[in-house]
Amino acid sequence: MGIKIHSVNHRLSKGFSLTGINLDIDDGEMSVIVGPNGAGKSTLLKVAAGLIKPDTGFVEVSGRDIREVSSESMSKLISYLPPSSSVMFDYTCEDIVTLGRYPYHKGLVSALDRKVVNDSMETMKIRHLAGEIIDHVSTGELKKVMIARCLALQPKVMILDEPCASLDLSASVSLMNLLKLLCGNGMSIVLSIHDVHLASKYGDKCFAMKNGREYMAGDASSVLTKNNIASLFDINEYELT
Amino acid sequence: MNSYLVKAFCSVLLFFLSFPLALHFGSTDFGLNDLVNWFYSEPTMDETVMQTVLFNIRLPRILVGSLVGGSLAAAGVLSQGLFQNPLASPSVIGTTAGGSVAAALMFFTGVGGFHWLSLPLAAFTGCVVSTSIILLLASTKKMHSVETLLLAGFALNALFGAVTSFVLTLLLSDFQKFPALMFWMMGGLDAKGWWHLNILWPSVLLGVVLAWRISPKLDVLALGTDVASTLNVKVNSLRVISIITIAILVGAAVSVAGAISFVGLVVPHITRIQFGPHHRRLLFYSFLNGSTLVILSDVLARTLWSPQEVQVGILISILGSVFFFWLLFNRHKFSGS
Repeated sequence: MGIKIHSVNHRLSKGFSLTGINLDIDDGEMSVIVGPNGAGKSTLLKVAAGLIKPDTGFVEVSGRDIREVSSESMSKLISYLPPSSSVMFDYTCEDIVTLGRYPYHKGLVSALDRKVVNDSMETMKIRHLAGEIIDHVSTGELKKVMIARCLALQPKVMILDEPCASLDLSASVSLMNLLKLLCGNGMSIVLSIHDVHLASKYGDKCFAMKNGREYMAGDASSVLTKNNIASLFDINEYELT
Repeated sequence: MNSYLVKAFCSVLLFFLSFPLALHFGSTDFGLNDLVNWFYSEPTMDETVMQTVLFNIRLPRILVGSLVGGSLAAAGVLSQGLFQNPLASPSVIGTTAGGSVAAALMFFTGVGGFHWLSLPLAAFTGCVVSTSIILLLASTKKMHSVETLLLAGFALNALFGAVTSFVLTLLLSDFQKFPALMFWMMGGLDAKGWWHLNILWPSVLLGVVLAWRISPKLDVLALGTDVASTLNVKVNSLRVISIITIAILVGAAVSVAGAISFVGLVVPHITRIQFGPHHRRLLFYSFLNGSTLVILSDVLARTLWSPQEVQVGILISILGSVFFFWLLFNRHKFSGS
């Protein structure tokens, strides 16, 4: 169950390619993807979210090959958070979370939809922001709103591209704690992250990648050792404190 | 919620008030009591004069104005939603100019008088072509980038403006076509009859129905194209449908009333401040506000220098520029509302 990526190869136009990627995340697990800039983390996450159809290989969600799932059911299985989200118009936080449930309500919001939206905001502890304009909340709050938006879909899997980017330490920790709670409720989460400390503290599994290939994968604690991190990022071990 | 009802009431009331007001004012003033008396068949004026002025001149003109204003405003809502940019109105991104070029060529070749559908069809085609160009240009770079969009629109407007001016110079010695094209370019509602309405209403109806259908998807687009795709919104087909709808709405308005700009920019802006960014609500009230704006501006255009008429397009451009200055100095308040 959860999400599985089966021997994915994909070549991007820029000459970069993902090569032989296998990934297996169970229900209730958090998998952290680490690696230097340009390693292919975002591309991999887009493949997992179904945004990029890989040249070869496939993705399986809850035991179903996503190539054989209709785009409508697919949209209810996985939610995706891009690395940055800027909203042009003055939607309120509640509006944004409600939009996340679009595959269910298609513009006509029911009482059930409102309840799910409300619960999602409650889970992310942002109920008090409901009426705030999305552009006026802090970066940390914005991420929580966007993750509540993902939750409103009641997905099986959440794919988050750098949810902690541009968050300070306390905002990152508070966000990761909430994500960990979600995993406790059976959600599978795949996220990319640059902070290796957070990655090893919160990740169940870790997928380290470099140049579009798997560098090392396994339990987060065994992958994210000082030695491995140093060679993954091409830095001298003694520069790590 | 209460304040919403008050705002909604104001918009609807103004919309309905604009019709009798516009019927009343003009170079021949009818007292409202004349109208009432006429309604109860106690004529106080020459009945045939009144009937001609009201039903063959003013009423079709008002209805045309209302549909033109409404459809331009609706097109503005769509293009701002499509580009996720509050400045992306049909006149800024070159849609209107594209329609104008096509229509100018129709005037020039004389094909415009060939069949009554040729002008609206040409305007529609011009709008499709210009909007597609701008969308292509905008999507090769970053969609959100205001600069890209405005620069592309600027370039397109300059190009189309040059072609239109060229056509004008070619027609300079043609005493029939030149003034016709000139007045058409300024945008006006003079001499609009029932047959104009017959061109207009089917396209406006079609455009508005399409716009209503895609509106919730434009809301989802606010989350970005990637997220919209994962939420089962087919972004590319949404873009195509939006462009066609914008072209239908602008093409219809442009072919009948000429190049009236600013309605598609100003009206959705003000309406968004009133009613928030949700596209269905925005579409509905923008249509009403756009109608009201054009009808009332036309009343001013007819009466300010009566009996000389001003082209309503000129008047709306003046109002639009005043609005822009206001926007310039009130941006902080504006984004906070």
